[in-house]
Amino acid sequence: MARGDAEFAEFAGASFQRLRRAAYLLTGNSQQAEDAAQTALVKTYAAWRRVQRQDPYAYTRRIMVNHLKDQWRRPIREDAHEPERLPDRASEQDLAGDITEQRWLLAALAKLADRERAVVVLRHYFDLSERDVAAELDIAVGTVKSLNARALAKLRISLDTGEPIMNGVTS
Amino acid sequence: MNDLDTFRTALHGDEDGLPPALDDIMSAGRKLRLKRRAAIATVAAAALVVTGGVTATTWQAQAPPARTGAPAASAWPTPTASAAPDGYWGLPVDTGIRQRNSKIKINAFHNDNPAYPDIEFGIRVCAATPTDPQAFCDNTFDEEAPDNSPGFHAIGLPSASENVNLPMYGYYVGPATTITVKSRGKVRTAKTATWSEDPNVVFFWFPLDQVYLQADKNDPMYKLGKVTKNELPDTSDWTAYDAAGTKLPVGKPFVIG
Repeated sequence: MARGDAEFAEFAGASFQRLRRAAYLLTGNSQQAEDAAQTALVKTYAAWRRVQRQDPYAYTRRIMVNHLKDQWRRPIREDAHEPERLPDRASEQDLAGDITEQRWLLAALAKLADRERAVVVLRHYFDLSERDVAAELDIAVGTVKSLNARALAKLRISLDTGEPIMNGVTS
Repeated sequence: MNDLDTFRTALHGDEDGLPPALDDIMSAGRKLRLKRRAAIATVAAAALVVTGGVTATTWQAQAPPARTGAPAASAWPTPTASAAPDGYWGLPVDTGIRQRNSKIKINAFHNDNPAYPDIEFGIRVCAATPTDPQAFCDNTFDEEAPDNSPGFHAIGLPSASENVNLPMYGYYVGPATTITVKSRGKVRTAKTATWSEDPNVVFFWFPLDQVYLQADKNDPMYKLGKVTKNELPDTSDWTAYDAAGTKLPVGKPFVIG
């Protein structure tokens, strides 16, 4: 085993599920999410000696988001945002409404434009600041605010943070 | 709990699942690493074949002129034909470091690696012998664009061949006249020189005895006083100052490697 492999294995094991979940939220497709998370880890491992002393999780997340952003630019997106069909009938484990909730979530996210969806996932799943989201997506902070507000409005989610929403932009 | 809290909880959902296919990931990662290195080596070798025997002009390293408020590089200059010999982009800088019969020089190169279409600028440190200006080189470039934003960019590790040691080096975009790093508890100051094609791009490097890899005392090279392949240098607090002593931005996250 090469130097750093043990550290990488530990890092990959600890971060994979979260990366895959984020990719799933971004694409609505579990296979594509799995591929995106693994691709990001492959690129991270290729540069592991360089990144392990920085913030490997942020690096891998950025690689994964960029990888998925590349899919946006493709003319044919191969059902990138087509939510998978979920079971019509609730299983025994559906008592808490988990599947129903996830079905609602994917259907709701599918209504968002690519950038709105990315902002929502980075802001509310990864809990990044607006500034960090802006840096990650290479857009202005004001654009992050407006995309976030517009996305939450589409999702019919009240911010309820005490901040007024004016012209679609939170102050 | 408001709507947003409920939504955030739903986003997290079920984060359990199968573990990553580590063997496959690491195998693919190794191949990718080799592919990148091969692509870089191919570019350098092609340049050497085309221009074999050309001796490039060098310029002596010197402190950058006092500049304040210089704008960040907005776009890279177009490489000219005269900058092409040996893959140079602009003129090489003599670091003043000597290793046996080699002069250690730093030069920029135009990055044509197709795996990094957004990265134009690369930097390399080379041992130049009387017969080969790039007898042994270490290349580095940013992994993520932009490669010309204000702040630190690609930083190369110290490295070694059988006969020469190469210093830790990199480039900074902005009016930096002093660059420091904390290594092994002491603040070390880099040598700097501005790039011939854009004075807002600053090359820097550290003397071999100030920033170096953790020595592996079991490595036979250690007894010869050489850099050994071991732990990364202990570096932190990367800082750049302008001529007035004002701290300049660190910039986007940068990689050391």
